[in-house]
Formats: sequence, C-alpha cells, structure tokens
Amino acid sequence: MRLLDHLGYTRIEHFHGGLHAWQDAGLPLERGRDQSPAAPAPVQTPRPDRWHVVIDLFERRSTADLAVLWFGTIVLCAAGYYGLSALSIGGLREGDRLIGGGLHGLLTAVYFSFVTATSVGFGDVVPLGPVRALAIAEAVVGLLVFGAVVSKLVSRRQEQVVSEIHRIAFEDRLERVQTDLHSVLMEMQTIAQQCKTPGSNVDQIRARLESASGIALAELRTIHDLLYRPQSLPEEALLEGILASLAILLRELRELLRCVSFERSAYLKKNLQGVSHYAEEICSDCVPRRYAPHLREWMDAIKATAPDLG
Amino acid sequence: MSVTLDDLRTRMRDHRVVILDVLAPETFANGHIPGAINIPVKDIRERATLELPDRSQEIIVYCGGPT
Repeated sequence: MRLLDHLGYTRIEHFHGGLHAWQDAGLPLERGRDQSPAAPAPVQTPRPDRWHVVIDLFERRSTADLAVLWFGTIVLCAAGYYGLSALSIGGLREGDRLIGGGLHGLLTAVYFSFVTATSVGFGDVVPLGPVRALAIAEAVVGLLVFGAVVSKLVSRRQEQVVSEIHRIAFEDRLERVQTDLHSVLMEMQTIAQQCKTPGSNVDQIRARLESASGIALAELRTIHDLLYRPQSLPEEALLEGILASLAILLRELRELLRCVSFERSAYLKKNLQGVSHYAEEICSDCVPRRYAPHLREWMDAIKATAPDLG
Repeated sequence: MSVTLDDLRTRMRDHRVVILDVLAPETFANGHIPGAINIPVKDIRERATLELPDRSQEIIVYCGGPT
C-alpha cells in the first residue's frame, strides 16, 4: 500500500481483512488466473492531463451549480461593461452612438453580455477598446460553461438509459431463464414418455434429447455466469425459483438417461459433461450459502444429481 | 484508509473501483474476490503504472488476511 502511495496513486484503500475475511463471511471466490492484465477502468480513463482537470472540475459540479456559474458570469461581465463604459475606458457602441451610463446603459450592458455569452453576437452593440478583451473572455468562458450544462443534462439521461439496460440485461434475463428451464423440463418429460412407450422411434428420441441437452447446457451456463457476479445477484425468491427448476430438471434428466439405451453421440456426451460440470460449480462455489440458507436444500439436490450426468 | 467487508461489497456494485489482489499468482488462481485483478507485491513497481495508468483510480487493495 505504501508502495502504491509512493508511486503516486491518490485513491488507495485497504481491505484490512483480506481474503480470509471474505471467505469467513461465506462469500464466493472466483478461480483462475488473471486474464485481463489491464484493468478495465484505465482503458476508459486515459492519463489525466491539464484539460482533464478542467473537465473534471465541471464534471463534479451539479447542473444547478453550473447554471448559477453561467448566469453569474453574465451578470459579472455586464457589470464590467457598465463600469468600464461609465469610466470611459473603452465602452459599448450602438450604431454611431456611444452607450453611456444610466438605466439605458445598464440594460444595454446586460443585453450585450447575454448576446456574447451565448456566442450569438448580433453585432448591433459592439465593444470598443479594452472592453473587447473582456467580451472575448466572456465568450470563451460562457460557451464552456454552457456546454458543460448541456452535456450534464444529456449525460444524466444517458445514465438512466444505461441503468435501464442493465436492469433488462440482468434481471429480466434471469426471469427468462426460469421460463426456459420450464420449457426444457416439459420437453424432457415428453421424451421420457416416448422412451417408455414400446416400439417408439429411437432416432427421434435421440434427436430430441440432443437438442434439449444443448439448450439445458446453454441455460445452465447463463445461470452460472450470472451467479458468478455478486453485484448482480438476483432476489432471493427468483434465485430459489431458478434453483428449484434446475434441480427438478436435472432429476428428470437423470431419469431420462436411465431409460435411453442407445449409444450416446459425442455431442450428447459433451453436453451432458458440460451440464454436470456447471451444475457442480454452481452449487459448490458460486452461490454464497449465507446469502440464503434455505436455498441449501436445492443446491444439495443439484449437486447430488450432477455426477450422474457427465 | 481501511474498508470494511460491507463497504467493499457495496462499492463492488458500481464498477468504478478496481479490486487489487497482491497475492502470488498461484494463490490468486486458487481463489480470489470476484472481479479482482492480480499484481503480486513484488511486481507492483513494474506493473502498476502499466496496468493502472490512471493514478486517481479508486483502488482497494487486499492480501491474504489481516496485515
């Protein structure tokens, strides 16, 4: 940690308990070597340069803050134009007429300030002398801040959309998994019935079993992948539904395999091995048992069935 | 600065934080906090700047047990 501080990292924190505390809490571990040598975050955020600091400054302010800043700039610059005009250091000119003090002068200064900050520049009122420098500065700052306000509004909408997509991708996907599992279960039962009927078409049973096992494997892989990410773990009820469906499905599959006597094709063998492998992993590693103690029953059922399938 | 277990789990949900495992690659392969990346302590000097170029990146470091 001190080493990282030394290397210039500014936001280092230490998880004191380490791996043991994580394990002691019954949370899942991930296996395998580090496959992404570069962390995902650095790709999105290149080394901050000076401009980044400026952009970051805007990024951290709220939309309201930025809007206030924008209006503040306009009002301040208007005061500047008015003051400089009153002191006759440069000034504003409308047509051939110099703008002086008084209410008309103040209103014209405010008007000119708005026209400049929005970079509209009608050109009916023009700055003279040193006022030009102030006008240019206002145009630059005004545009920058206004741009930040607009991007802020747009990005807020975008964040909403992203979270919505996340919801659809993860939560709805899991609900679909449950429906899919049910379809596979029904298919398995139909095949089992066909299998028990004497004189039924073996080729047909084989084809249906191969196809169903492929879908079962795909669903299992989906569940496995989703459960591997603790940040997207579903609600307990949904998880229980999925695990229950899976347990029943695997039991049915085991019954079915006892019935079929034909030689298993390489494809079917591969699928069954995959199913067995994922079923075993789902329950031994991925689902934190502490997360839902009463799910243990289903997990044990799945785990008990898994070795018979491969 | 120290992070608690609950804190760590909450922060894992938004993906901005990088979890850094400084244990040996063998230990890492045997089991690590999901989503963590691995740079062993002895390699930090060489690899940290390459793999974590953003120095304002939020990083949570952990090793085997309480240290």
